[in-house]
Amino acid sequence: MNDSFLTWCDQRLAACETRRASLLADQRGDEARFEQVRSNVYGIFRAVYSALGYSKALMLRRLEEISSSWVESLRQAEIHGDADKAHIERVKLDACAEIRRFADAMEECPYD
Amino acid sequence: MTENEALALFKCLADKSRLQILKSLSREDMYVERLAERLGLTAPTVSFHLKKLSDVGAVRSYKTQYYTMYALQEETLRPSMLSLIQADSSEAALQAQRDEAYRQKVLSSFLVYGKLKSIPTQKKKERIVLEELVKAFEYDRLYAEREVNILLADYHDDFCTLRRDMVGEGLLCRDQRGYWRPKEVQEGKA
Repeated sequence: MNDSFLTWCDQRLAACETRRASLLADQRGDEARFEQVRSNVYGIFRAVYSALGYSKALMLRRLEEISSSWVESLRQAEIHGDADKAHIERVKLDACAEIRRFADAMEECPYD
Repeated sequence: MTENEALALFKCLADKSRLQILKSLSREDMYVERLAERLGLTAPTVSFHLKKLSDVGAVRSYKTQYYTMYALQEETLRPSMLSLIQADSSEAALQAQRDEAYRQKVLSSFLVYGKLKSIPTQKKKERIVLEELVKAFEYDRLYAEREVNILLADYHDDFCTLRRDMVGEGLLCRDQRGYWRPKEVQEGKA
């Protein structure tokens, strides 16, 4: 899935940047920040996928590891009433779920 | 409303989505999903903004049978811009603390065991020292020049300069009858 995943990530990154610029221009600073966070997540897993030799299985395993720490971070933020942090963690987890859905729908990479 | 509260409110309102939420709530009380639908935002994003607005006291919530409703907190939003600008400033208190610390530093540098080591050459520092020395004079009492000199000579040999500068700074007043300490003097003036 290497090409299609990388292409998909690039499309998501570009879409995030477009939305972020538009939100900033519209004086919606917090939502622009959330787009940046979302974009960072796509960037992270694009890099992870490349670094792990375009292996879908390894990338998904890494995604589970990383996102589990974000789940814990969200739990802590909710316990302490930190709405800002909690929302950022939700955005990250939402992006992770999107990546997972896309990856699941993809065929295995022939190199896996 | 304190200055910090006003700053937090301004910062919170400097966001179009939050202003749109307030506009919607000014028409009627609403719940999260209704606001989300109306403003084209996701429910979690609306919740996030409502929490921010609630933190600065711009909105309040109440429970109904099925929903948590949100409403404008008009007491927070009603004060005029002018009243917010004129609110007591925590920065002013901080500035006063800094001024007092500086004053004490100057006094401890020039006044040693009740004696003036030297008359400060810097006008600002001399003013601080003179403000301290003038406390030796009582209000509502007329002093002859000789009495003024004796009092100031306790601090420094050059009592003439001290006396003249006190008059020049308005800390002492003088006429043909003698010298007195005016009540309207604002001590601590830099």
